[in-house]
Amino acid sequence: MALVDLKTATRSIGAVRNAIEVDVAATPQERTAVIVDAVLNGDAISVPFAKFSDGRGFSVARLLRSEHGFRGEIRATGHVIPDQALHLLRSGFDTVELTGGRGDKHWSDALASYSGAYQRAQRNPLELRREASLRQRKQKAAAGLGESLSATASLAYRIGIVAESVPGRLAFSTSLGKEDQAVLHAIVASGVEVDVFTLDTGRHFPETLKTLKATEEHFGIKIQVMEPEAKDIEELIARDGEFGFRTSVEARKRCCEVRKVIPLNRALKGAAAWITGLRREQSAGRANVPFASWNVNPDLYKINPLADWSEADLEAYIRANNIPVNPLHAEGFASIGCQPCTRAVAPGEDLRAGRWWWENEDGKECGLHNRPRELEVA
Amino acid sequence: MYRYDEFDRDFLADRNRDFRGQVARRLAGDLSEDEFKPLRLMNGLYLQLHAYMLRVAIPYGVLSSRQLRQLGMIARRWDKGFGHWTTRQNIQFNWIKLTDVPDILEALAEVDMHAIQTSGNCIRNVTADPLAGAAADEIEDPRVWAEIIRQWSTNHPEFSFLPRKFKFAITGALEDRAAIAFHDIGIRMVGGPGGTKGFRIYAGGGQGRTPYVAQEVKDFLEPGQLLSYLEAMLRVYNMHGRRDNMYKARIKILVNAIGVDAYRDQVEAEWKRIQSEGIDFPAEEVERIRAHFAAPKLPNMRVDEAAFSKARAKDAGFDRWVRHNVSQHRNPQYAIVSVAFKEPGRPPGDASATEMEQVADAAERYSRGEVRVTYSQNVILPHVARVDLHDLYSDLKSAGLVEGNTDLITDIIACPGLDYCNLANARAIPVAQDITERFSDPKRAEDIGELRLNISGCINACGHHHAGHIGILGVDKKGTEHYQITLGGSPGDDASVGSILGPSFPAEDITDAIENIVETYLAKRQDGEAFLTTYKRIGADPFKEALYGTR
Amino acid sequence: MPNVFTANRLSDGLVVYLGRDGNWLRDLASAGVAEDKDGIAVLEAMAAQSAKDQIIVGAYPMDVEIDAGKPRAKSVRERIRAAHRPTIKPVSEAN
Repeated sequence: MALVDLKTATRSIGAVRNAIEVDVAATPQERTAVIVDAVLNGDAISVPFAKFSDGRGFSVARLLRSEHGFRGEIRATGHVIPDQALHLLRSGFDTVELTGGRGDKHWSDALASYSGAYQRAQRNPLELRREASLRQRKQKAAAGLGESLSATASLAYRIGIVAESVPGRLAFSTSLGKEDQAVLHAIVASGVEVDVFTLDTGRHFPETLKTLKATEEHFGIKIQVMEPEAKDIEELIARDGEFGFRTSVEARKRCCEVRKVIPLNRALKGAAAWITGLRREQSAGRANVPFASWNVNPDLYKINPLADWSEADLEAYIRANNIPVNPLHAEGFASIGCQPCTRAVAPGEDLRAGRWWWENEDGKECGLHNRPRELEVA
Repeated sequence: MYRYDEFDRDFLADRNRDFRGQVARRLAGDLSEDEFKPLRLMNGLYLQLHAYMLRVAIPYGVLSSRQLRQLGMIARRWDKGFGHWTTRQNIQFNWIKLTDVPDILEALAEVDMHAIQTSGNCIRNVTADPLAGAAADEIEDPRVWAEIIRQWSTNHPEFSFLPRKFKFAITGALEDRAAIAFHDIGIRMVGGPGGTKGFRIYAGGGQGRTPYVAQEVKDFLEPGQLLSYLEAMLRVYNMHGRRDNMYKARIKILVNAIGVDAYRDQVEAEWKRIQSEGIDFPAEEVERIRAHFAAPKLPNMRVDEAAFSKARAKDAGFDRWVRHNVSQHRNPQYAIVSVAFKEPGRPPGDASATEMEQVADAAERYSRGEVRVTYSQNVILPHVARVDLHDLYSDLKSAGLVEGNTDLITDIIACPGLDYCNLANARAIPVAQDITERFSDPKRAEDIGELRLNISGCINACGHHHAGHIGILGVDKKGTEHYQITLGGSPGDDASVGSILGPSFPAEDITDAIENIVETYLAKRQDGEAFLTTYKRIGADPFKEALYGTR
Repeated sequence: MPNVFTANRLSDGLVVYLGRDGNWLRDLASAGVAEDKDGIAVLEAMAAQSAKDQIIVGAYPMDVEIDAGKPRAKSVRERIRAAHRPTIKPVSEAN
């Protein structure tokens, strides 16, 4: 017997769990009895479809989840067709028992056939109409803000516009690189209240840490240092080893996740806007960075006040304002991350070529600036 | 009216791609007819007597002139140059090729239209008061909620394979022009405590072989709770509606089998449990949709009453048309105009491609590009300045669409009958043609007054004969077409199911029988009372006696 | 009682009749007529195969009468189907 796993749109491999069948005409009491058995034995619950057009099973799955709170596997058996794949998934089913010659491809195609849905269901893997409306409103606001930002060349003035346009807490994450030093200068100069923080991954260059101290002294401010959870680091090293990030992109991303992304999310919690030092010139992948955009999760505006600046603009600003910079820049390090994962770049190379240089050119991001939409399953 | 954005267009493109794939799989043999049938029905595609029939959704009967022109284009390019307005405010095309359907659906998507859930055992196109947003007696615009129900029910993961089809109607006016009592769920917007506005919910109405008037399930429901309540109503039906006998599978049978009180108890229990599940649209989303239905800014268009009266006095046709086809707009400088697709001899509700374009032109010129399709298979221009009425009349006259007979005996509602339909037992259109020709003298029709005459070609009652003041039902009597007469039905606030008068008549006698009934009414009526009033006062016996007594 | 097999074509839905050679034809007069149970069974088997081959949908046998050696529809319904058009003039042909 083979199953289609609706959440991954693949044929499930390995042993198939035993399933207890629940009658579609069962009373709530009878459903409860089936659930008790299933939970005690670690079994799945199967919901039979006598005919694909008999839609009681959709309500039964929904009730098993929402009325009875069953969290185990719910499997559709009997006559169901691939065209019902999303109906099944969204009603609370996990798997479908494959019968006859129905190919897996029809099922995976059907699961990918829609990108949106109008109604909230038991599970919501597709963007909901209400979410799209919210996104449109936020994107419109972000576009308006972006337009205001592009109307002035003054960096400090841009920070002021953000403070005026976005009600709520502003947060700025600094890596202490050149870009971020310039933004920090403008924040201090504008007098706007912004929470400034940096992520201490535990793997930074000593020069970076020195720059942190020098910066705090220069501007007379306190930069909050966010650290990864000790427990997460232990688990990461136990799983992938001390230098696991060199073995695969996945392992490297797990390292970035624990050392950077999770602490960043902690720092951004409750922020209305997140100011960054991204520039379009930095890499091909950042060529279209807007001045302002809306981020779904966490729900905030992401502001890139340096988006249109050239390297020369940046250098001129730093010189003119006598801003301290990380000494590594002078040694050919353009973009500076953790010590084991950053090297200097040669003249003419992409500015981010020195990050994870052993990986493919495409998508060299740590996950701070390009999170994929999660396939949320309630 | 509701305008699509990127999300709605992407959804429709996904849906059309999905159906194109299903058609390809059917033609390749990957889907059996048994499996394909529910899928094609959910996209409005029937297999009828002569060909495929495509029923296109006109959500709550609202059309723009651009959309109406596109319907004309589709009629011309993929059909035989005409379409048919249905009692559920949709349009259907009779001569469609399966292989053309994906392209037709794309042409519809170009103007933000579709055929989604116009058939099948799912939640069908929501119907509403055709005068919404213009009527003088409106409490609140029902289109906002009709659109919300449309969105909620579209591709619903749980309610796409119900025991049987499921129809909603909603009205926001004092007078019910949407026949809510004859729907699976009927919704009436009402005033609530402290000046609030909400919904009164009815369930279990329907026609077919067991006609029922819907019963009240919920006296008052807050607007923000509508969808969760409907979800509870549908879940109880989906779980408990009969699936062993398609003739007993509608919600009306469930409600009447267990009683409306027991049904209500189950719904309320389920509703209490699910209220916090986030089913109802958030307030900002309701407001986003509401903004699409903001009242149009109608410019100040003063009418010279003396000149208007003079024009009416000079032209009897115009005068009659104003009397019967022009009704009161909430703005006294404006009027609501009914364009009749009902002149003697016309198959009721059929419209040619040319006529669709002519009405689209008229709507553009005189009604802010807005058109509505009605329950009685006519078309409404909802926002016409009274000062423009004579010009509009002249334009429609050259199109041949100025029959001034709204709600008169010649304004017949009829299904396509055996001329097109696979289920019919008898023809409906020729009967309608005969009767309209018999009563073609406008003075006579006007003298008879308000009289709703409905014809169905079989017991499925698509012509709503149960709800006609006079209903005609086609039956098959040993291979010949016979017609049974019912009297006393009504679709409105006094909703009732008509009663069978007596034995059926062969086709050649039915028009005489109708004339006999009309003459009996004229002889018995008092003080200009309408047919239905006379019938209710004197009962069926005088009609029976006149019709059958001499046999 | 003489019988012919009729159906709708899958691709365009048009009314068709089964010919003696297994082809589906628009013209009822050219349809293959079965005079007895065995004859009907032969047509039925051909119709079932055509349904499997995605050529037609909803095949069924219908009574016909023979007029000048050719089958003719008996019921109103089948006469309308065989004419391939309604008995009334559509609005698009009115003028």
